[in-house]
Amino acid sequence: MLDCTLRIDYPKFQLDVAFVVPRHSVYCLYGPSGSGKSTILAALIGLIKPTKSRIVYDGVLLQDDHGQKIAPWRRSFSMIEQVPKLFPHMTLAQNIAFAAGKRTLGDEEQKLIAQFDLSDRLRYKPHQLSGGFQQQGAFVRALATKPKLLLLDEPFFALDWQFKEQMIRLFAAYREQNPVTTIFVTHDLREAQRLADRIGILQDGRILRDDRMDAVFSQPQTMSIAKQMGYTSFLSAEKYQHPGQQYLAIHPDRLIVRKKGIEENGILLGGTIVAMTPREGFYRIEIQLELGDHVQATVRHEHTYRVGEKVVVDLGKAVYVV
Amino acid sequence: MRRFAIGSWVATSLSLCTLVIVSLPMITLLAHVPQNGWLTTDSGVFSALITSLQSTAVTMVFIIVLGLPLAYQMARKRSLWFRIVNKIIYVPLVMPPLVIGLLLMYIFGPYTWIGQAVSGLSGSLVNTLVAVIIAQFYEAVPYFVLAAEAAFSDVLINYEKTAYALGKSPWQTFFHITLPLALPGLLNGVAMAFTRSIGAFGAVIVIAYYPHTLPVAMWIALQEQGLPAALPLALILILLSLPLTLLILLGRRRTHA
Repeated sequence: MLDCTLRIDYPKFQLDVAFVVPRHSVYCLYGPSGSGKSTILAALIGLIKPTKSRIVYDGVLLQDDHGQKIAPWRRSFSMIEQVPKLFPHMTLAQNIAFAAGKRTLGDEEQKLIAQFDLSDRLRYKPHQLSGGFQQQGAFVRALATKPKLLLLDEPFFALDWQFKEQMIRLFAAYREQNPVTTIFVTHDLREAQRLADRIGILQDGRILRDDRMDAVFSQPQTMSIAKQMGYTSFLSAEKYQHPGQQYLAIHPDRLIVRKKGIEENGILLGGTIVAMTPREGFYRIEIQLELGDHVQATVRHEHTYRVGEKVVVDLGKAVYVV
Repeated sequence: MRRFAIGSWVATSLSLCTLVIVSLPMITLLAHVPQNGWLTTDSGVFSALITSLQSTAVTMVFIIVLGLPLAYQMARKRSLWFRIVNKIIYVPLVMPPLVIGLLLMYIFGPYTWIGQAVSGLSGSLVNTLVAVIIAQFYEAVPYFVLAAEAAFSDVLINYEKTAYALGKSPWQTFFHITLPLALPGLLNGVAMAFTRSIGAFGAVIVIAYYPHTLPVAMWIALQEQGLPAALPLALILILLSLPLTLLILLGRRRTHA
C-alpha cells in the first residue's frame, strides 16, 4: 500500500495532493494536461524534490520533509512513460537484462517476454523496432525489475489504436497473474475504465474526487467531474421538474433515443435531431429538445436517423450534479 | 537554379582549396622522407621515442582520471560555479605553450616551494620525466575535457532519468548508460589529447629539455643537423598518433551504423 502526501510549489503552479493506493490495485490519476499528473510520478520516483512530502510504502517511510529516507533506486519503483526510451546502445534483450539486474536473461524474464509476444525481437536494437514494439519492450523492461509499485505515465498515448488495444489487453492479462500495485496516469477515459480500480480526478494540482472508478462514473456529483467523465449535456433540474436539484447530467452513451411513436413510456421528452457526426462505430447525434435545450446521444450505425427527424429521449439515466 | 549552381561550384572549389592546403604538409613529408634516407640510426632517436611513449602514457592516465569526472559535471550541472569552471578550462587552451612552460617553471622550478619540497626527496623536478608529464598534461588536458564534456552533453539526460526510473543507482546508470553512450565522443577526446600530448613541445622544452621527447629531439636535430635529419622524426611522431585516430574514426563509423 502506498500512502503519500505531496506539496510542490512552482512559481505559477501549486500541487497539493494526498492519496492512498491499496496493495495490488490500480489507482488512476485522471485529469487534463497540466493538472500535475506527471509531476506526481516524478516526485514519487525521486526525480524532483517536493516542497513538502511524506511517502510511505507498506509501512516503510520512504521520504518526508527531512529528506529521503530511502534512496529512489532502492524503492523498487518502476516507471513506463509515453515514449519507450529503450537504451539505444543495447539490444532489447540487453535492455531487459539490465533492468532485471542480470547479465543474461533468466527464466522469469523469458516468461515475461513470451507473455508480451517479444521472443523473436530480442536481438534487435531499439531503432530496428517499430514504435509499438519499442513500447511493448519498455513494458517488459519495467516489469523485469519486479517493481513493488509500477508507475504508468500515459504509456498508451503514442500508440496507434491497434497497438493500444493489444498493449492494454496484454497488460491487463499480465496483471491478472501478477497484480502489481500500479499508479496509472492518463487523460483517456476509456483507458482509465479498462484498467483502474480507483480514480483520483486531478485538476489544477488538486484531487477533486478520489473514489472507486465505477462510483465516479455513475455518480460524478459535480459538473466539472461529470464533464471529465464524458457527460456532455447539462439541463437545469428545475426546468425539467426535478425540484431541489441543480443540474441533470446526461452521458451520451446512456441517453436512450427512440423514433417518435414507438414505446412511449418512461420519462420521455420530444426533440428534433439537429446534427449527426460519425464516430468510430457509432453516430453522435445532437437533439434539440422541445424546451430549447440541446442534448447529445450515441446511436449505432444501423439506426436510420436523419437530421431533422423528430425523436423522443428518455432521461431516466440522467444523474444529478451540482 | 543557375545561381544555385554557381554557388555550389564556388563552394566545391573552395573546399578543394582547403583540402589541398591542409594536406600539403603531409604530402611534403611523405615526398621528402624517402629522398633523405631512413633514420640516421643514432641511439638518441630510440630513447626519445621511449621517453615520449612513457610520458604520454602516464599523462593520458592522469588526464582521463582527473578530466572525466570534471567533464561529466560540467555537462550536467548548470550552476554558476560550473559555468566558471568551463571558462577556466579554456585558459591552458588559449595560452601559448611556451607561456605555459614559463609559468610552470615558476610553480615547479628549483627555487619555488614546491620545487624545493620535491628536491628534498629526489633532487630537482626540472629536467625529469615527471616534468615532461606535467608539461604534457597542461598542454593536452583541455582537449580531453572539452571533448568529453561535449560527449556527455550529447547523451540525452532522458536516458539517465529512465535508468533512475527503473530503480538503477547513479553509479549503475553512469557505467551502463552514460559512459557507453558517450564513448565515441570520449575516444575522440582521448585521440586529440594523445596527439597533443605526444607532440607537446613549447611547455616541455622549457621545464624538461632532458630527457628528450620526440619533439625536443626533432628540434635538436633541426638545430644541429638541419632539416633532413628532423624529417624522419616528424614521420615517427605522426605515425604514432595516426593509428589511434584512425581506430577511433573507424569505431565511430561502426557505432553509428
